[in-house]
Amino acid sequence: MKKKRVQTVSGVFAVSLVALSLAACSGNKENGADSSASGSASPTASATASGEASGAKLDPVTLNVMLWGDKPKQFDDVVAEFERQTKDSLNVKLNVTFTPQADYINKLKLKLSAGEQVDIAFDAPWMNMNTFIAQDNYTNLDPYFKNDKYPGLKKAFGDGFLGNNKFAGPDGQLHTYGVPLGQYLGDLSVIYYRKDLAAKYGMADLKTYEDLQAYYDKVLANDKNTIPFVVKNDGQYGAVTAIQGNTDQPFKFRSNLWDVNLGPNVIATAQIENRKVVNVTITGDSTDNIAKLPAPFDKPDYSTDVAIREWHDKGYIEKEPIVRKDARGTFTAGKGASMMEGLSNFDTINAQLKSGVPTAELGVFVTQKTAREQVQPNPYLISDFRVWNFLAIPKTSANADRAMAFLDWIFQSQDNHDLFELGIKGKNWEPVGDDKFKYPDGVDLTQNYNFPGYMLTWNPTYIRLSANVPDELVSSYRYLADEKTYVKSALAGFAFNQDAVKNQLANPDFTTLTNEQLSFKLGMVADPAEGLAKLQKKWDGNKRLQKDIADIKAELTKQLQAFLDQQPAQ
Amino acid sequence: MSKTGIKHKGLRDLARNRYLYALAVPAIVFSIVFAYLPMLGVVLAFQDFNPLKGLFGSKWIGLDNFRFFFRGQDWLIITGNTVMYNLLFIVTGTILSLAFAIMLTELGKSVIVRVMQSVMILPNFISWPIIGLFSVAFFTADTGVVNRFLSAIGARDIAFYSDDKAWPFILVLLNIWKTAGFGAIVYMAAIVGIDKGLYEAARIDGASRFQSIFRITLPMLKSTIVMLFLLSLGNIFGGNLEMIYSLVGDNSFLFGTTDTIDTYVFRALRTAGSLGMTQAIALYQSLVGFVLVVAANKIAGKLDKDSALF
Repeated sequence: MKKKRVQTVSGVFAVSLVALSLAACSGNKENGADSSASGSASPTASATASGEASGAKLDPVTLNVMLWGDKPKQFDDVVAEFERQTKDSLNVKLNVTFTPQADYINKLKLKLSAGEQVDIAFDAPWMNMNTFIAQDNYTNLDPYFKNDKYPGLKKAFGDGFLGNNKFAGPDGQLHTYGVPLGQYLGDLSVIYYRKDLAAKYGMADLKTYEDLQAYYDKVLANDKNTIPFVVKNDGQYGAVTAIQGNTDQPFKFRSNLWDVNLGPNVIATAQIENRKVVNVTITGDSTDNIAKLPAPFDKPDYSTDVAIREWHDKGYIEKEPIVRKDARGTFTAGKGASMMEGLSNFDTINAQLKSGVPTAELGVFVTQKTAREQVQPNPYLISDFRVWNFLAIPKTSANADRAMAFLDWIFQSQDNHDLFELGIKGKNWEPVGDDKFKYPDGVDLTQNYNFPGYMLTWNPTYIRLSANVPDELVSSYRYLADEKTYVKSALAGFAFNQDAVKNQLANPDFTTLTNEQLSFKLGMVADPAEGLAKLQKKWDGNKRLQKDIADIKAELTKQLQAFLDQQPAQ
Repeated sequence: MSKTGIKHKGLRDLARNRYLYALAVPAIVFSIVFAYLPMLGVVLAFQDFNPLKGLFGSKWIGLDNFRFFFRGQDWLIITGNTVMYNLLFIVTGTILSLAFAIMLTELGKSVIVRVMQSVMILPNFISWPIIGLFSVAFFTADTGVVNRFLSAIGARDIAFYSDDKAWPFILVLLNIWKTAGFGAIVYMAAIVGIDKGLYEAARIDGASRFQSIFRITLPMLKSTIVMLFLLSLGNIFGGNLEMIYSLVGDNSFLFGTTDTIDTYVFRALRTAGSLGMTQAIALYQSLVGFVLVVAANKIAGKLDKDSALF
């Protein structure tokens, strides 16, 4: 009794204080032994029980699923419908925990260290996944795929798709450590704007970059209190993308330069020629090292930052976007004339805008020129052909087989899949043909089931587009779905193992550096070229940072070369 | 058994007053469970923590986690900021709480005073993230109230979000606004406890109001003030994460004067989230706080025996 209380109370504390709390540890001690014990008894190999779904009735089991974000409306109804449909086959109950994004990883870690059962966890390489795989905390899922006992997984995950989404395990071999979730290899960034405003100014639909700027000028002239282009305070989907997508840019890959993510706030650029690593630079590198790259990348290019500042001066963006916490909300409330997001959010944004400003009409301007012209391959879309999100099974889960059987069920048929992605047929959505859907008349979209599919259901085999997507955008989706659209990275399949340089990567100056650059991305610095040059000098003079950078680069070069040596000659 | 059966003085006292001591059991159990057991977690600071292996199975890496903080070049500035803000908060908070407490008690007990007191306490219940949200409405360049006012009277605009000079004032003012009213309660309680006879005697001797405040109230409050000061010293390395992060966020323009240990560490580890490293910093903060409290207590005890905590 007491023990249990300690756990919950300490858990609540720790989560609320993010990671700074000491309190969480009380629960760990008692359960450290438990978790290791059940970890060793992990039933990965015994993949027999689940396949018998058709035969003898299975014992009821509750699966604990960890997802992030807010709980979708009507989610319980969907789960109840799922449990009703599968009572005689899977016989599982779902206990899905939704955790705010900022607390998610800490909560997952705390749950696991407190010995709580987690059967399915949402994770990704940009979060915690690489670390957990290296620590041998996630189950190797190889036996479940291409296995006739799991027909859904077999059907939805082909060889190529699985092959691109493997991870190097603690044994150094490539394995599937997470169910890969994704529809397309990339998302198309688009600028959502107000068609009704454009019409008011006597403008046709925006077709070119010049149209876009003319639109902003009209907004400034006619609607003083409307922000032409709302930019969020993290700089994502901001002026950088808009400007770079429409001006002549040198592309790194044409000089055999490839980017690779090393950790939060640290990105490396590697020059690879004839399967040899010639040069590597990373975030914060010194002027001397940057000079070793091939032209024009041997010198810093501040033109984008200068152009952003021009947008600032003209008033296209706010003076201080650093305080804008919610770009979409500002736009859909009618306070902004445009904002940028992924094309896949069209429906949601449309619904939100309509409920915020009933007379508004949503327009879509595909941000990059090459994407508007559907150039293949699109030099902006470099892909390692991996998806971004995964579902993993912690080693402590005693129900790995049942959890995989549940995921197998989702991918068995379009109907199963749609139940979780779109909700209850007829109530939350209606099919239109085989590959489209619409919302039934009279459904309040703000109260309707709206599940972020990237956490559970996204798969290239089962894509249903909204029937609301305007015809001219359907071709954009097709463009997005075509593999030929993407430039395949020479480093596809490479995943950096941070372990050897973990402490160097944790140098807090990498974060400071990213934040310093952020102010330029938001156009808040009066003379960007001078300011950035000054920053570069500061980083050059930061000896400890340069030492850490050198260590990281050495390790990266070593790992990259080992990776390239393994690649078959092309 | 007779009383002589127990030799040890403390134990004898314990046995004799067992029912009195029994009253303390819940508090003792509470402290053990919520304060002492969690201290085991301190070992996290020396480990490469792996949640599945738990507290005792994770790899021991010595002081590696502590090095992380000192890798950055700004750690000295950040430590300086942390101490500066806490000292500012302690000093201004104490002075204003005291002033409020004395003013309110001097005013007597009318309805207006009660209302005033409630209004002063109210900000304490507004959370920092909410204050952070509406601070934008005050300070932003485009539509901020302050800048509109400044341009209305013909003064120059202040770019609050790209100039860090104003922030120490803003933070101190907001902290006073939020905490001083609540802090006054403790002092008011202490003032109520002062023997009324002292004031009567003083008045008969012809003391003015100010004289009784400075000669009676303040000296009588001395040990309360010192005690609260000592307690707050323990947090001097705490970074006011909630407050500063809500107001400043990731705005690098303002780091120079607003970055404290907590915000710095939070930002650096937000995505990676290493429990070991955060624990190491927390331990570092607690240790410095602990040493400061013990040292300050010693000094206080030297100067005036009654003021020391222990």
